[in-house]
Amino acid sequence: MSRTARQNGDAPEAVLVVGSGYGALKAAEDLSHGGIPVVWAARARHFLELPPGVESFPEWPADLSFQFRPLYLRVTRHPLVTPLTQARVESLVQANGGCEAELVQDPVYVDYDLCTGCGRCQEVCPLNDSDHPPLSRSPAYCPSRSLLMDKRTTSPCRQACPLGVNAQAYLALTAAGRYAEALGVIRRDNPLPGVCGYICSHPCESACRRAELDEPLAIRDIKRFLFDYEAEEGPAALPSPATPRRGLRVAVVGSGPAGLAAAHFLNQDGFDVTIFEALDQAGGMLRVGINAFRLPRPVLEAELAALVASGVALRTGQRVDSAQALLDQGFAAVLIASGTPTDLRLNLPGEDLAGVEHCVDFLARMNLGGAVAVGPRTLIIGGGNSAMDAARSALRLGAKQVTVLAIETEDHLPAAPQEVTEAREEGVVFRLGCAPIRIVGQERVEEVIFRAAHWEFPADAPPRIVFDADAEESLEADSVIVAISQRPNLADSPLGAELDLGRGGRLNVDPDQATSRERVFGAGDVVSGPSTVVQAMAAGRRAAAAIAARLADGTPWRDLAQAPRGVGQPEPIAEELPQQPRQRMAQRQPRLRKRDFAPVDLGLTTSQALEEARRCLQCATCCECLACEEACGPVAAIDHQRVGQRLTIAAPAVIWAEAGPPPLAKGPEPANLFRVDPAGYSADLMDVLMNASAAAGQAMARAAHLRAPAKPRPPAPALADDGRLGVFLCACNGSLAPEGVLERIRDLAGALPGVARSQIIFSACNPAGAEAIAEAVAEQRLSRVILASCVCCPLNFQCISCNDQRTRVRLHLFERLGLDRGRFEMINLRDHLQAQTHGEEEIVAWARSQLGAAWLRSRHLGALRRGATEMGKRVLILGGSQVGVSAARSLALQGLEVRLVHRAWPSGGELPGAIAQRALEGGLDPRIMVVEAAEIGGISGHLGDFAVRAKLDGRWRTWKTDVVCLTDDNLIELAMYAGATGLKKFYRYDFSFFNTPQIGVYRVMPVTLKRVDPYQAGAALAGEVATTAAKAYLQDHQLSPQVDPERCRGCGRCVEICPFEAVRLEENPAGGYTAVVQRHNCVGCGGCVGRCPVTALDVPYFSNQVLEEMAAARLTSEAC
Amino acid sequence: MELNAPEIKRIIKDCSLYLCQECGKCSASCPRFLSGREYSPRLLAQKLISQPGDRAYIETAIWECLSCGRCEERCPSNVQFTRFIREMRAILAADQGLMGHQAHDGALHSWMRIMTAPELRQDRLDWLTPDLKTDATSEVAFFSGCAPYFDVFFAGLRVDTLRTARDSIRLLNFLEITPQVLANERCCGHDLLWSGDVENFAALARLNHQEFRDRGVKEIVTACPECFQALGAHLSRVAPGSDLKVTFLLDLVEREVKKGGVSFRPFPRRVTYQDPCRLGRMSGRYQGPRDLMALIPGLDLQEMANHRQGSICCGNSAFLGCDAYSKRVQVERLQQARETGAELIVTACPKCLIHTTCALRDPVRGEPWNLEPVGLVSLLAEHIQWSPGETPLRD
Repeated sequence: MSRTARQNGDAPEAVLVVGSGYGALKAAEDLSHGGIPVVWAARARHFLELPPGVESFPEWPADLSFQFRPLYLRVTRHPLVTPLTQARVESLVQANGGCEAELVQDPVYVDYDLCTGCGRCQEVCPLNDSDHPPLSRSPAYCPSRSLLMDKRTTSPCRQACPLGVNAQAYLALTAAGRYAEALGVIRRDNPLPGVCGYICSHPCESACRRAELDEPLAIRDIKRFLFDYEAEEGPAALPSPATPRRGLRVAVVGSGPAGLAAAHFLNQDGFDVTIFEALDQAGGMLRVGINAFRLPRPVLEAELAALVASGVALRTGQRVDSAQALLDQGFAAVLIASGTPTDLRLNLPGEDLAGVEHCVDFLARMNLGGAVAVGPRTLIIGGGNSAMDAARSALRLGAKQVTVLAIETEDHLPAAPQEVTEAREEGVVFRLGCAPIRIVGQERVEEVIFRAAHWEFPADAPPRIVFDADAEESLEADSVIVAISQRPNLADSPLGAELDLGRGGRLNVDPDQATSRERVFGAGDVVSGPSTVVQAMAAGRRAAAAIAARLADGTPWRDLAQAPRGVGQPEPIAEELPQQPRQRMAQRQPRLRKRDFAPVDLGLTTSQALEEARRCLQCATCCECLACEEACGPVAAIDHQRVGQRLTIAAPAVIWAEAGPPPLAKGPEPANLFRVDPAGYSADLMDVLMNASAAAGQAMARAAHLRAPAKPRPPAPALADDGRLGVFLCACNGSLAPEGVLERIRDLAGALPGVARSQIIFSACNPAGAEAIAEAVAEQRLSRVILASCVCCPLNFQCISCNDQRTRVRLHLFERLGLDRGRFEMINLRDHLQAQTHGEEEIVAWARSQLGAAWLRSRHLGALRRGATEMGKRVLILGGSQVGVSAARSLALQGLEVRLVHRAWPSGGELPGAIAQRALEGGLDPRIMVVEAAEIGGISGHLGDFAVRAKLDGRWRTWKTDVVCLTDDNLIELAMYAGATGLKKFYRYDFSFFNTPQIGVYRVMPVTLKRVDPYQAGAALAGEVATTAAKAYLQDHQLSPQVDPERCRGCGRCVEICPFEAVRLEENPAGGYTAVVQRHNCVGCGGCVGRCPVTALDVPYFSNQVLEEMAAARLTSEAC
Repeated sequence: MELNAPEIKRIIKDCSLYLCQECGKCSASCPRFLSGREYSPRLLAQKLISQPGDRAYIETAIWECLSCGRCEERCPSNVQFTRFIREMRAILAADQGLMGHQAHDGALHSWMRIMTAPELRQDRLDWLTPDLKTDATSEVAFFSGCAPYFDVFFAGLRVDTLRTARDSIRLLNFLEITPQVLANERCCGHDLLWSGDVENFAALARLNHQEFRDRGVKEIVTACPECFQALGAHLSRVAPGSDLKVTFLLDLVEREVKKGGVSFRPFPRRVTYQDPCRLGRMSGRYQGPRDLMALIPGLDLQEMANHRQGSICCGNSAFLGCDAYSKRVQVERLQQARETGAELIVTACPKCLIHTTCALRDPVRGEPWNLEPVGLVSLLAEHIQWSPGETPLRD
């Protein structure tokens, strides 16, 4: 859970509760209920989930009990609680009388505060049916059922890609048959999917974890498949670039991979980009250096066309001689990406003989349509990809025998192994481990002399050739092509004169890709020397980011290639996963293919591509295809970019309810650390809860200064009741009804009399959705609202039926935005809107009838009760055992007025047992008023206004107090006032240990002292007492009934039925009794109203009149 | 309808309201007035005669009356006040819909209306135990009334009105009478009649009349004074051609017992007796029940301060207007009962039994009354016996 909305400010002061489970839950409940801010940190993804590494607690119920759901809801949605899941405490240091805690929270990709649980994300997730779906619902006991995302460390393929292309995602989408989306994923990071699909050096495949099992994924081939698949449908298209444009022009010199990539990303970011290409055709090395049989020309043309179509201007045949001139023309920046078009020379004798050519020259002439010819015996010097291109081209140009002469051995050839293999298949012969020493011939080349040699890589010097033998060997050749790498041509041009060049004529740039000249940048091979296409593109992209940052005031650049994200390592490869070799593209036979320049590889078939993509292990679990982010739409709960956070808590007290030990420095344990050790208890759940309660009580005494002064709720805003009605339909982010049905229902509602606004809201439990409702209410001056959404009942009572969405609707609309609950009629259309179970007409008919009833009901909407009862701070503790003294001390620390009766006994009852006099020794806080002994005649009144009859020194007197605590066994009978019907079951699900049937009277049961020591019991009691006594006001329940004293017979059946002691009988002037509702005890359940034989009680909002009129209207078919 | 409409003028005349001398004896005897409610029969009469424009007062007051008839008993001018109230309620209800404050949210009235459905199927007879002899061909029928319903509704009060029904049949059987019990009888309609719903009262009456006819019933025996009144005095008004004989069970018992041969087992307890208004003031039966009790050896009947003609209502009638004042009436009545030193409060009406039980059994702050309510029928049925040597002999 992330509390982005709730956290502002740093080092918040709060009691820190650490741990998953019921102990922590109970402690957080007691503290927040007592007005103390709490930061609750749990390592698990859910507060009731067992922390990692802990398989079970012996005393936990086998199934997490649903009885805890209300408590869970109350705590996790309490305004004073900051719940942090997946959070670890890094350190705990004693400071400022408390502890300073350093917390680290993993990134939480689905915001618990925003997620509506609609499940749209799961519907679109390509991996939802996999063995490890990234999105799952919270466990059933979690009342939100919000989604959780499992996102592990960024997958190795993606990390390996210099461009950061999300291979995992497009494999996942391909496996799901979603080819267009898959290609879209590639294009996010790579504007040349076709080029890369054909000829990328695919570092991703080298990193692929599947190699541990059998073979790496054929990632590049799948990319090619996707491109080809799209090409069959129509022209390639890049994403629409940003609008509005920035009005800044950028010149890119060179149309190779670096220049194209830079131009694309700048264009996407709103810059107007012009590419200047010296040659007549664009593409740089992609065109001149790579052969058509590897990269078919239509592919390159399509990619270039897409780039131009997206708005990049491409000016060919334009050699740039001066960057400054471009700046002077109004370009805001210039990027030099002119690559390495110039061949390196061997600088050996005979290199200038006729028949000796250099690779780029040779390939360029051939690829640009110039005249090229090779002799029958062609020798290629060099072992890189260009050498292979040259060798294979030579074969295609008619050479009978092509030999590659390279210094490297087979294992270390720079060329891709596949290139070498294919060259061999086509008949190319290799002489490896040899370096040429001269080229011999009369006018033309005749033979090449060489010696065995190898590379040496000294630590402090450039690599050098070391000859292994003195013996010279020779090979006869009619043509020689020298393919030993290239260099930039800047040194040969005026452009180079403007710039600072480095070794080998390479352009010098700083880490921001800036050259020595202001606003002139460099990227690609011209900077790095010859590299791969994908590296050059990555460089172009980095340069684009640098330029954007430089020109556009540091606009943050979303570069997915940076910093792996995610939480945790990949799932281990399952043992039962069968080995399965990768799919291979069909190839034309070598005999045929060496005759022409048509493509060698024929591409994967659709079934192959599917089969291959399904081999992907989906290392990061979540593939970040972002389909879910889109589906989440305005709910905006999902954000894959979230990062973890580190926060410091100034905690006056820490409650450690975690299985492991706290991360403490050496030395004595801090006094403010209270442990609830779930593993330490062998008895039962109640033990844990009791201990948690004790810890909370002790923590509360130390954190009392954090208690915010309570204020009574402001009166309801006055609304002109002109009957202007609004209808809002929650669409639950489009998951609720079949397409178009909600619109029909909206129009139906709009036609109801008095409806001023009928509107579909994407989600009512989402903050933005609630705000949209509030805005419409204000704008339309609505005085009544029908809201079809998750129904929040006005009971404000989180019962076993409540869920997170209901709670959130209430919190957003009625607490945060202050709308008047009394003016809302909420209806639930959900279960009848499902297309699976109901036809469209049936759905609409049902909705019509529901709306009709709601409309009738809306005529009676009105104010809810908003009063409050003022509370004093007087606490009377009867019984001075250690429990009582401990409670007195704790309460006095919290600023309450405590009166402690050391020895108390009820009239006619037993005297207190032996009280350890020690309890009083050591002195008590002088603020505690101590009475040595008193006989107690009885307790009357109610919470906030008790009268206790006490006899001391032989005289009866009455003590007034707000709260009474009975801490000795002999006093428990006092908790039952005259006429009480007995100990009732409590329905608040608060697992309170000290409540009695009489709210405001607390007692300590003997069993409590079996669970904790008397000191802790006293602290826990004090904590519970403070939940009421520390409040300045007790809020009336908004649905608490009023009593008609004329009708009330004083029979007490309402008292009998009320489980909350919210109804009392009071004597009336006529000598009888009249029921009186203690509104702050009332939960608004209406049980008393139903029980009253003479309808003397009635509630607001659900009044008898309303129910009667609605029933009558339904029976007489007045409803629409 | 205006309150000076001819129809209302007729009621005023028929019920002798014009004869009112404004002496105030009615108000001074009215339990509601005495319990503190601002309600005066005299003022109501006066308003209607001289200030018919004060609709608010009149229309409220009409529904206040308990219809106990105590005012009528005292009235020197013989104003028929209860009849006046009954007829006015009918007029007002017909005009404005049903009014008044119905106890139990009107649930009981709803049941009664539900019973007007001709196609209704009821499960009325499962209270009949095997020891009770009935005969579906008998010309005498025992009318159980609402007892089977009350026992469901008032289960929480531990009211046992079916005990009265069973004991009634025991008494009849003892007296050699084997009645039939009708599976499809309806509510007698008393409460509807008294809450202004004349239409549904008539519907019930007609259905009952039809049922009696279909089942060959010539005589109805009932243990309930309200049924006795509704079937005996009002049914024939809406079911023309009815020649039904309606017998109150205690009348029958009294008649039979007086033939001799019957005695009662001793019951040495002190009791007091609550006169039901429908039995006493409306049917004139004060002495009969007392005579029967006097036959039980050891039974010590102590009269309450107000008894016979001056008896005080059990607190409610027709489940209308039950409220704080009703409760005071009841408490006062129970105090009178307690002052007699009685252990049992005997009554001859199921409604008195229900209302008295309700007041006795407040779950919270209830006074320790030390009084148990009991139906007179049960008291008799449990103690009746043939005198030694005597055998039953019917004439």
